Amino acid sequence: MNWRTIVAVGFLALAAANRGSMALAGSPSIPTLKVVREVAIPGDMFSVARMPGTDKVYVGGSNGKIHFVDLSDAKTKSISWDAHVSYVSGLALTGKHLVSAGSDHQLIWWDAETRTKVRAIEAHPKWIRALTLSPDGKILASVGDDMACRLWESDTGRAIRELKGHQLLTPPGLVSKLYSCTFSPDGKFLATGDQIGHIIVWETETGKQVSKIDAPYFYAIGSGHTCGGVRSVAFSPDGTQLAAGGNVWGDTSIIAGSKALVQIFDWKSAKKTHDFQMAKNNFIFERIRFHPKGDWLVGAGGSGTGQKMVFFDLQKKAVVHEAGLGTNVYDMVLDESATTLYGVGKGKVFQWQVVN
Amino acid sequence: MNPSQSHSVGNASADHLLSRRAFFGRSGGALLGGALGLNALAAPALANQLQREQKRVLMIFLNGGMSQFESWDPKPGRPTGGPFLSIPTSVPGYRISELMSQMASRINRYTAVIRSLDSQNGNHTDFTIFGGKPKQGPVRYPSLGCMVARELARPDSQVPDHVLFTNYAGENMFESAGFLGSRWNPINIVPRVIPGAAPPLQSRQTVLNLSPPANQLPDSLSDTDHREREALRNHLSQRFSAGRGRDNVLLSHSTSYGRVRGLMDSARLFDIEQESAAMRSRYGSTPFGQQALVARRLIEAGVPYVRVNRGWWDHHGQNAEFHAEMVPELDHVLSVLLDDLQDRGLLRHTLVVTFSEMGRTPVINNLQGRDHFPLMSVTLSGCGIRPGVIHGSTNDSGAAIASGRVTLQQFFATIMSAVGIDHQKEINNVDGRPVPLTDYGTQPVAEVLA
Repeated sequence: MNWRTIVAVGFLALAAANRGSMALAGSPSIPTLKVVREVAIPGDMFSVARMPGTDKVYVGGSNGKIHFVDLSDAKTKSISWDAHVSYVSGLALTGKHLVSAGSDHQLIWWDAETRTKVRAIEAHPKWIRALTLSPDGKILASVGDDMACRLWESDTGRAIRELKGHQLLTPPGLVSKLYSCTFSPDGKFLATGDQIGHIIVWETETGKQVSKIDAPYFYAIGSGHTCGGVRSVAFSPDGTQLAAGGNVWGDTSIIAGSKALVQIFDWKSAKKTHDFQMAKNNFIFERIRFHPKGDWLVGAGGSGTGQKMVFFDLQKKAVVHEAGLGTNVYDMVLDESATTLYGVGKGKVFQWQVVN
Repeated sequence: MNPSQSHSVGNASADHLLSRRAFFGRSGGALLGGALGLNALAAPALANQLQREQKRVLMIFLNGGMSQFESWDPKPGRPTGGPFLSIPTSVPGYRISELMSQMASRINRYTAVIRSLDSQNGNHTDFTIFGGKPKQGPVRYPSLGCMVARELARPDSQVPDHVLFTNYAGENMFESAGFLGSRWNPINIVPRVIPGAAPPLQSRQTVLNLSPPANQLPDSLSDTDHREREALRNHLSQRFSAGRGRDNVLLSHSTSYGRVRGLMDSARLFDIEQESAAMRSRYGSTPFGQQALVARRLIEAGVPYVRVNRGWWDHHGQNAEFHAEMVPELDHVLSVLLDDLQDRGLLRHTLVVTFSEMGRTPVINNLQGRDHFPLMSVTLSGCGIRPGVIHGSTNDSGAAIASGRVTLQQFFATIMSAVGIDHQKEINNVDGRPVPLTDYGTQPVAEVLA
């Protein structure tokens, strides 16, 4: 255990001891985090995919490499290979393949065992921002700066459908970005979130728009540039709610620019049900995940300062736990029982135990 | 144009007869092919004069410090490279950011790129537009725009000599004429604050103006009253200055007042409504695009130095996100501007420059931003420039200059040389000491000059 880990564990222990001030004291469902393992990898890590039922993860970074890490091995070292020219912005394990998305416009199918390239597709003409797999594993969805969402057969790479409906330009006339996408738990719907705070829910089977949500507080027009965006979306386990993560309107180009923000919507009526603004810290919720039973929602703090993992109790509409990280976390996944959380960030892969 | 006009141009007093504004206003895109243009250039003395007088500079100043990595000097695949790819350009072997697809096809026609400008500056100051010269006590050196405006200006011009469109912040990197006298300061067109800004507008948000509000008289003052006041002021001023010699400050004061009417009569120049909807659409709907179009109108009318500020590029956080939207805008506006100037026959007389106060760091920080860095890339297009020249280089990471270091003084000398200004010309400062426009011994970057 290196000094950073010791500091992190100490901080988490302190935070857990003090959580009564941030949460509802005595609540049995308050989750806390305990660091199990950290593995250092040079660069910024933007994406993670976990092999089901294991502590093995694939990690994508700013150096264009994919790294394989077995976190069950205390002496683990990452195995890395060159995958993209630039950022690896999304990863998905389809069963047969590992699929990676890059800011180099490519989707690449890999034989995960041999780390050999199976196929590569120029999937978008611009930066691919996110990649997600349908619950049945059959469909991949990718979104990019061309403002399109594209659906692909996960096994063959065949293009299924293109979903277009997000505005190409921001209100000042600058090009926009389509940041996030996720499937509903039953796979029937797909949600996409863009820079100006527009979220569209699509019917997967037909590509029809079934809901459009306006979340303007995720977007700001600053000094000649525009800021923000819905950086992450997640459906609740029962499929009725849709959460959006990012930052509240403010200027993220400067160090003390903006506060992290999570909002939750009843997506069928497009009405907001929850609004969580982090008061004291300046970061962006780059990834949000629901507990599989909907007990809580967790948000990971990416770019910024004072980054935290934040747990929200949706029933009580309260922040119930904040774990200081001391570094950025850009992506995370939960295991099947939501007792382990795997995250990636600046130069690190994390494994946390979630203590409920 | 009728024959008598053509004839009079051949006389020695042609510069008094030929208003530059009228010259360009009449000829427009047909300038070079028209009878006046051909006849005028056939007379050596007049041709030289026209060539000198016609020249002007349009400076696009990228306030806050645009990243060279996301524009003219990309390093894809390097730890410092960021997310964007590079694309080939019309200059074999030279690649730029994928965010600049329009300029990629125009560099061989219009533009020289300097990838190795060492500004020796790492902050948001006016250091670079003053050529790195310190302000030494009472000696206030002039900024680049003021020097160039003074050298290219015509005494009898009825249009402004120096116009500056500020950015949204009403930025503080203003030009200053220093010892040249305030006559050469620009007309600063500053933004207007939007009261009660609410989401998605941030607080203290501004909207850009396209024209100086001082172009119009207040309701309380009639045009006749204004002219009579000017006559009285002129009379008193002449009495005061009698016997006081050629004091720069006094002259500057007097000529500034004397030019007010001319500037007010220039209101149409700033009126973007004079342009067709198609032309406005071509430049784009963004304020920067619209400012660039007005800047072209000013250049076309003979304003010798126009600076358009586009900011704010100071992306300590989320650098790639901001550059993803701002670089394509710059790419578009710069491309349209160069095409438009070329179509109108103006580019051979107009030098279009992109410049900034600094560049951005190779290292991407915890906020996914890039911080301040003295090395930057700049471009020169049009008048006096050898297009397609890529001068200098940085090393693989972009952290250091590998070849062809250029100083601010050299950059200034290159700009001046391109528009026919002797960059070693001496001007007397306030104590009568001769001061060269650029430091003694400065050499322009000859490689980029035509």
